[in-house]
Amino acid sequence: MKGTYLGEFEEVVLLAVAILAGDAYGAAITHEIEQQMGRSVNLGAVHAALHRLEEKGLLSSRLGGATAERGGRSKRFFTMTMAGTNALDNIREMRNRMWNAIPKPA
Amino acid sequence: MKEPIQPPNKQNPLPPRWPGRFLRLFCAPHLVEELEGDLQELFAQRLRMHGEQAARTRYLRDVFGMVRPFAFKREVSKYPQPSAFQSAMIRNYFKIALRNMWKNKGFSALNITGLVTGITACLMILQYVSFELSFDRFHHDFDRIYRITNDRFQQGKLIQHGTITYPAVAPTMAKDFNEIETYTTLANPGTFSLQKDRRIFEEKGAYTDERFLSVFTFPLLAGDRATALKAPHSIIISETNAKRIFNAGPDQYANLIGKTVKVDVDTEPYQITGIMKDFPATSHLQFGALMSFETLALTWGEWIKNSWESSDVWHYAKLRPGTDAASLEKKLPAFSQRHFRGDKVSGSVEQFFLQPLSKAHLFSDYEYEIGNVNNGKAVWTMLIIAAFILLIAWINYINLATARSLERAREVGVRKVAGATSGQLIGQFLSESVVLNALALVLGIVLALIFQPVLNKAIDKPLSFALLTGAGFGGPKLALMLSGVFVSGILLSGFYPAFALSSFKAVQVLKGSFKRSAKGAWVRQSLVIFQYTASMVLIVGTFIVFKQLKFMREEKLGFNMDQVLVIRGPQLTLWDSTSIDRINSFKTELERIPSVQIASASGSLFGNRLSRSFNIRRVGANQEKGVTFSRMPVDADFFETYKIPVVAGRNFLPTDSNPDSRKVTTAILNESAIKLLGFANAGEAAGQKFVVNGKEWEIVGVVSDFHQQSLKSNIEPIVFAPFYTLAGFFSIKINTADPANTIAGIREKYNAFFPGNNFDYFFMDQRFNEQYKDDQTFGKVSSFFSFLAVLIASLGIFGLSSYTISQRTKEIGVRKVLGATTSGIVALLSKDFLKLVLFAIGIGAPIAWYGVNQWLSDFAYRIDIEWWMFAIAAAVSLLIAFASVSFQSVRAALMSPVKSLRSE
Repeated sequence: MKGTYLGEFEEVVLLAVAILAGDAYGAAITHEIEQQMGRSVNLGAVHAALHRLEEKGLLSSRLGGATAERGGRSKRFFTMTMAGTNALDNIREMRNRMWNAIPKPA
Repeated sequence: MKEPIQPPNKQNPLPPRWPGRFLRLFCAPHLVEELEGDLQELFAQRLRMHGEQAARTRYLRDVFGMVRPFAFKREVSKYPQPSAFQSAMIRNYFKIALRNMWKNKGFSALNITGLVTGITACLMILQYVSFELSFDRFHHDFDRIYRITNDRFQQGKLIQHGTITYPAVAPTMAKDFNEIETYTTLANPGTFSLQKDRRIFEEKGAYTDERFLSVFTFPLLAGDRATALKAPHSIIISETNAKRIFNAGPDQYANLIGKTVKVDVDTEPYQITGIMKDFPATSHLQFGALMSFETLALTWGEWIKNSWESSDVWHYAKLRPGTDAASLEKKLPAFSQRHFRGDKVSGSVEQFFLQPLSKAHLFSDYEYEIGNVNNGKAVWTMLIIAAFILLIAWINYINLATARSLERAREVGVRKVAGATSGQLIGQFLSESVVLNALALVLGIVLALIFQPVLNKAIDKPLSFALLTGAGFGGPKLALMLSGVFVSGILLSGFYPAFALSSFKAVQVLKGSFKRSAKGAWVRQSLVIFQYTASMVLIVGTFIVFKQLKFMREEKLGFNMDQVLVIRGPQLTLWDSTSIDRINSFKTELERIPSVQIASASGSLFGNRLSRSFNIRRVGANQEKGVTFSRMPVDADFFETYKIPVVAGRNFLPTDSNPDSRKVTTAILNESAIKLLGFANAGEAAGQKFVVNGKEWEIVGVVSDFHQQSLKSNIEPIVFAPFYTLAGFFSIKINTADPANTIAGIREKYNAFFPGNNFDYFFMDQRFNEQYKDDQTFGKVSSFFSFLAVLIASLGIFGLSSYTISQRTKEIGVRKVLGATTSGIVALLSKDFLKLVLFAIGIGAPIAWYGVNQWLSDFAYRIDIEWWMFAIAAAVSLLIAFASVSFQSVRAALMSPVKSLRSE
């Protein structure tokens, strides 16, 4: 059983999948991250992260939706699983707790 | 959903191609599509946003960024394969293999016979090769031991190429060159008569110094190796001689030290200072007795230790570890110049070489050879034949196995349908061939062991299987190498049929539309061509070897040795002034025996290297440089006995001889010799004079040339002088149907005239032909194994043809129904194979030509290679092939078409 610990990049990828909501595939996710973070991202890194997340059960995928721009090749669409949504919630909750624990300046 | 795919255009360029190819190279196939899609989509996007250059760069970065573990992972199959190594399946494989062998008894027998014959023959030959190559390798430091050889030139012409050289050479070299650790010298090798209590034991021996036992590794069982050969009149005898002469066992060896034996005519007895192990069979030196060098210095004179002029010794030097022999050899010309000053000292220009000990047996073409030599080329030829035989046998296996694959196609189809992978099928067929081959290997080894005594007797060599398992050339490494060869041979010969079989398509096979592939036929054909090329080479080789041997046996030698009995002279009788009269009256006495025609005495015999005299000059011709003749002491009846015609002048007269050898001044020359002295013809030479060593000789007669040695050697210029010796030979021409009786009569007279000597006789023609013994053995052995190779090849073509013909039974039936003749069908069926054989003959002929040319170059007098010899070999190959094929094709052609067409 893989641990549910999420790396920083994995978290970003997972968030991008959530943002794209049903229209998430390699190229779109890469584009989305680049737009959001303002830095270039390697497609291979994104795919590697997607594979890991799928193995951890946080994402599920299916093939479909070939376009001319892709030379008629299928996309692999990723969707959040319940575990994936929970994982994001957990992270957010933990971060909030930690933020709240910071002593307020007087 | 799908949008129409737009063709790429200028506004819409495509990403470069090669990164995609790279991606497909490493990426798991099931991921390629989505990854390529993503890559191209991003490229298009970036093209719009950042321009082509940036898009390309990013594209590249992305592709190389894919080199990550996830991309390598192959898709997990939904249908997992069970392991190929399940005991039930393996048992099944073996069962099927045995059933198949049993079902096709004929084929299996053919296959196994071919393999077993090949392996047996190969093992036997390898034993021989290993034995020959292992010579002299038992010495510690054999790789540091070299023999000093000596080429001698007069007027720029090589006049002697010998292992024999001057006594002073090795001691001086050892002084001059620090590279030489130690050296040893041998002299006067030969057969000696060891005498103990009036019994005579003949044994091969030599005189050598005390360093002999430290240069070579011949262990002493008793005595001190450092000093055993130091004192004069010391002798070391072998174990065999200790047994033979003293009837002593190993525990008594120590007691033998200090006992004495007499040697030849030496009045001083020799003291035994050591008992040595018998020399191994793989030593090029073969002596049963070693006598101390100092003895010779006493009896022959000190010159034997330090002469620069008389070359009568053999030197072996051991170099220091790490010495480069080649660079030492480069210093030898300067050495020669320093001590021989051109030809000022010895009369000829001397060149010295270092011959590695490991080459002394097989690769030595020197004259005055001291040891046991064999022809290295012959040994390599045998090795090549062995390799050919083994290859041909394995090729047979491959051919027969693949040809039969059609029968098993259905089995393969069914197995595939039932879920067998090709890996499993390969495993199955490979294990079948391993079983068959292993069986053949075991049988081959058993047969080789059984036939061992026969082989050893045929070639007169002490071979054993141990030569292959560590006792021979290369030690245990050879055994490892051989097992490597056999294992890989077995695997390789199994691989091709296994792959061919496992690649059948199940659907085609089971539908019945399966045909033998043309590709398989191509492989089979080239294998047949290879087999027949090898056969052609071997047939030509055997043919020419036999032709040459026959030529040498039958070629006129220039003298007649039919029914010439030779007895050894009375070596143990001392020479005195009455000896000549004694010899002559013995001859007269012999001639009284009715069956004896004539008897003569000579100092040496034909068939051996004769001694030489150097620096011979013609009187009155003012020749600046002398010439070199071989010499032979003979009496007045010698030429008559051997029927050698005197072409000019006269024969020797009894008055030419004199007990005082200084008073002998008459000589007879052969035609080569007078030509060398510059006479135009024999008549001109008769009565002329020549000078050697300051003494004038008159040429009283000239005899015609003859082959004084085997046809491997050139006819030499010979000078005959009327000297007598007791250590020579009597040649007796007899004319009788009952030689045993005559010999008994001769023995009686010999014992009366020369009591205390061994009566030892032989027939001259047998002795002379012994020079061809190695060649005859080579001929016998190589022809036998060539025959085996051809036999295996024809077994192969027999099996192959019977198979292809059985495949065409229906075709033949239809042709017969339509009116084809029997001969037409036989021709049709044989044509395919004969074409291959013809092709093989074309390839084999030049290879064979090269090979036999190499072999023949060893003979000074040889047969010419002519085209018809090849034609005969080709005809033989074709005939054998045709016979093996027609055996099957005739049967097929005669078969009634009703039978072949009835089924189906």
